[in-house]
Amino acid sequence: MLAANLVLAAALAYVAILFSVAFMGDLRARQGQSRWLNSPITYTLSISIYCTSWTFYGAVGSAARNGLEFATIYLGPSLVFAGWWFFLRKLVRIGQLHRITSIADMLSSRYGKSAGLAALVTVIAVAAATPYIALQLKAVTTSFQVISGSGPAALAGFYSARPNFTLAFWIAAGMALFTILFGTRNIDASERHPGVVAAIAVEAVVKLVAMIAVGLMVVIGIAGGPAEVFARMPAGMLHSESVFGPRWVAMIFLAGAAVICLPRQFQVTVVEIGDERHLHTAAWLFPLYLFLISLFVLPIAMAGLAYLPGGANPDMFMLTLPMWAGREEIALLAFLGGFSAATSMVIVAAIALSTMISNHIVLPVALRLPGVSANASGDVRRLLVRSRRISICVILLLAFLYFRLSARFNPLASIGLTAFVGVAQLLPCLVGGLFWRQATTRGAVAGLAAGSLVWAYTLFLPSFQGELLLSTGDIAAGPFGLSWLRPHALFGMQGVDPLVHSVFWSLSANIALFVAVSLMREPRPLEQLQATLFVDVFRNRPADTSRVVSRQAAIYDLNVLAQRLIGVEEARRLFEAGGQGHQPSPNHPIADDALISELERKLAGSVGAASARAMISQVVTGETISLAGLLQIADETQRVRDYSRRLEAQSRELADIASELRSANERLQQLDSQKDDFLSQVSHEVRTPMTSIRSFSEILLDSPQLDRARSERFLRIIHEESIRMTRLLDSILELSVLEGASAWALAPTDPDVSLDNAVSICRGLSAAPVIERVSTPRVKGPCVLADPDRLSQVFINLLSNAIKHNTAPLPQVRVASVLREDVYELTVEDNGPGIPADVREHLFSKFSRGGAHSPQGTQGAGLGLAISWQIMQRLGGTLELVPGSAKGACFRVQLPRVGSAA
Amino acid sequence: MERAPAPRLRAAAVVVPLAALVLLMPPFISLFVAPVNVLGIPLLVVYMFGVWALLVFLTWRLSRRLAARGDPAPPA
Repeated sequence: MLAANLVLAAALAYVAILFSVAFMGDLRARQGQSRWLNSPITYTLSISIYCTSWTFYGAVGSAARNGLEFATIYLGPSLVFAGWWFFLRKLVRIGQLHRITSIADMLSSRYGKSAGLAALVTVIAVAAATPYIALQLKAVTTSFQVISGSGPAALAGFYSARPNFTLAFWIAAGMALFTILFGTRNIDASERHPGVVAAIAVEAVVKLVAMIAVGLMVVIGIAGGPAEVFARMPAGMLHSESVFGPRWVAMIFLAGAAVICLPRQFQVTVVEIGDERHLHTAAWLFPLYLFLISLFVLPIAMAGLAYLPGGANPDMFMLTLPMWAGREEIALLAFLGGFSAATSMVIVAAIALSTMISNHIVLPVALRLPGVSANASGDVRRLLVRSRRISICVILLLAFLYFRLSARFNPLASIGLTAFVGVAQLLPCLVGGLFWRQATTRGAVAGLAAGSLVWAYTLFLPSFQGELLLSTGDIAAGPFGLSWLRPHALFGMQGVDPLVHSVFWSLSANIALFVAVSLMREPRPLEQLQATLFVDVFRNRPADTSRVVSRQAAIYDLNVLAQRLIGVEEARRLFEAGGQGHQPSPNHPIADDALISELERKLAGSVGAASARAMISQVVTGETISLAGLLQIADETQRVRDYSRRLEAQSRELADIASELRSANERLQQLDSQKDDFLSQVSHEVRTPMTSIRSFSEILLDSPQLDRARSERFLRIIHEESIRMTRLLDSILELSVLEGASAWALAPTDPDVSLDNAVSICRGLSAAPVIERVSTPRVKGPCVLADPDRLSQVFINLLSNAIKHNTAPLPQVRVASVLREDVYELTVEDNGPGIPADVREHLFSKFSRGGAHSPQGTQGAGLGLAISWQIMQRLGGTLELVPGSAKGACFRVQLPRVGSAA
Repeated sequence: MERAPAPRLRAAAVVVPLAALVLLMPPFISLFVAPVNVLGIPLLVVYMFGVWALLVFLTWRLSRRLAARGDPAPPA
């Protein structure tokens, strides 16, 4: 009902405003006064290019057809942004650190800077985006025809009318012009487009205002309150009984994937972000934007169904409702809102795709051509700009052709969903790349290729309804009549929504191959390095890859390359910062790794990681990736684990030392108390004879008239006591000699000879005892290393103890010597009273007398056993008390055997 | 390495979207399919937009606190 010219004029005026906003934005950014541009609000508004004309017109159409289902498209992204801390934060951080230019660059950078992967992603992205851009052309063209039309045909939303392709063509051309003007102005180090961001932020406001205006008009102006709108709701419009099925789940998932993987979303969310902290705001503001824009979708759809004539195009309710209500100013606003939504999407999508095409397809091909290598005189910058401009035109032309081909069928929403499934193929390798170290390039390529082939076969090609490759017959019955290959019922999976069917098969194939192929081989060093830099982006310090990758290049070559790509000024700054003079000559020295890495990073910011690497590779020689360095920065967790393992070992060592110290201390204290005991024992032992000597000598001195016999007896006592004391002191002396460190001269000895010697000496001690000698066949020759005199001393001590302390009426001593495999063993057993249990423990200590079973006068100093034990220790043998066959004491001597018995 | 916010906050930042997802998925959302109107609006619609609004609100509160605590330094 509005004049076509008026609408056209309004649209052109609006475009003029956008131009000036974009121009101002660019200008401001270049002057560095971009506070408004750099605000989180602008950032969030730019993300809202997610809401295309599909949202603006299609959501209402979808709500009219499928009820609540429209909401899934906005719930998915809301959830993804609400979970920003988990995923988007990491994505944005990586994008900033590595100067990522597009989603293809992101993936190729992660997967070992693979140029092939980047090209594959670009192809998938273009294939998925073409129908999507076509959708925008269709929406704008139809809306223009509707708003400038009149009569029932216009109100019906041109359901059957033929779209005006001439108009569509010029719209496409206009969008291409705008995109070329503001999107490919310069090849910046950072691929940011402040002018474009400013324009799409304005457009985001316009479309939200238009949506709310139409919504308020419907709810308040037409119906008179929300309750009234819902009261007129056609029965079953919400499809509430059937909507919450697999399709609901699949669509929430797809929308969430799309808001990450769509090239244009990646462009605004990751590439155009000025400051990582903007994400804090966008995390809730973007879901709020989606909430607001969805709020009136249901009321508008219901009003359209209730008031407009039956059979009206639900996709055009946004326009036809205000027209029906006679509110032409709102209709015009709605038209501009839809126009905004479409143009902003097309512009950003075209920029993102053209960047990908030029960086990942044109440039790698050009680098291989002999004339355009980085060292030749061709200007790479000009090549890039040109290829981007041409790409933009080609993309829009493709979209236009798709629109012509598919104009007659497919509501807006289903075209959009086709694109969503296409880009969702990027999700597995993107998520895997960010969280899974083992993911490899081969895995990513295999998964992507399989997933996108299945997508093309089950959704994309059938969407042409027989016009492209697959005929209608193929779609219905399967190619070559193979029913298990039917695109909508693959392997006989029937009765499933085609969208869910395609999502299931494409993503299953994608994920299965991605994981399986990744696990088949170890990642290459460069892949490992990149995987670590990506997966551990929050754990490692900002990547310093120059420590790991070592290469050599002449400064001159690098400088030529840098000047060609990032400009003379920028190159001069880079090389000055790198400590190199700005006038490099061909005989200049070799550049260091840090400079090469920095230059590669700079180049990656404009041509993508894969192409930057390819160009650097043309001038560098001898690239090696140090595995040690890789491991060093690779596994932060590994490093932490190593560190804690070292700490553990050290603390274990400390604990060992502490316990050793404790036991040493205990032993020292024991020794100290033993020494005290020893001293008091010695004093005591010495005191007894001294006392009698003193008292008897005093008697002798005091009584000179003592008769001779008595004085002689006293003198004898004094004499005996002196001898006892001397013996005692000799023993103590001997013990201290034994405990001393002086070495003994040991010689191979026959122990039985010493034993015989001892036995014959002891036989004379007393008449009564019977010494029974038991022996294995006599060992001939020396079999132990010992001092024979010392050995005899031990034997004598043992035998004399057995005889002296034996209180049995008929004392018997049994001596047995055995030569075993590796020891010589001797046991001395008596039939005496035995050793009481309480003294056994200290039997071999000094002054221990093994009980009081000795007849008066024969008491020794209690040092004999201590000395014997000490001797055996020195000889390397043992002396111990063992349980005997009878109740008497049984001592066992063991000496290690040397050599073989001769 | 940057200063991480309290583990409680980090957990909440993951739990909130997950909880919203569960609430919006079939077993739960199907419970609200009932011919009941709240102020003339179907319960289902009120529920769905209610969960959505709550999600926005909680994310707002959380992101403010996360940003204050673990403000990541902008990369050099």
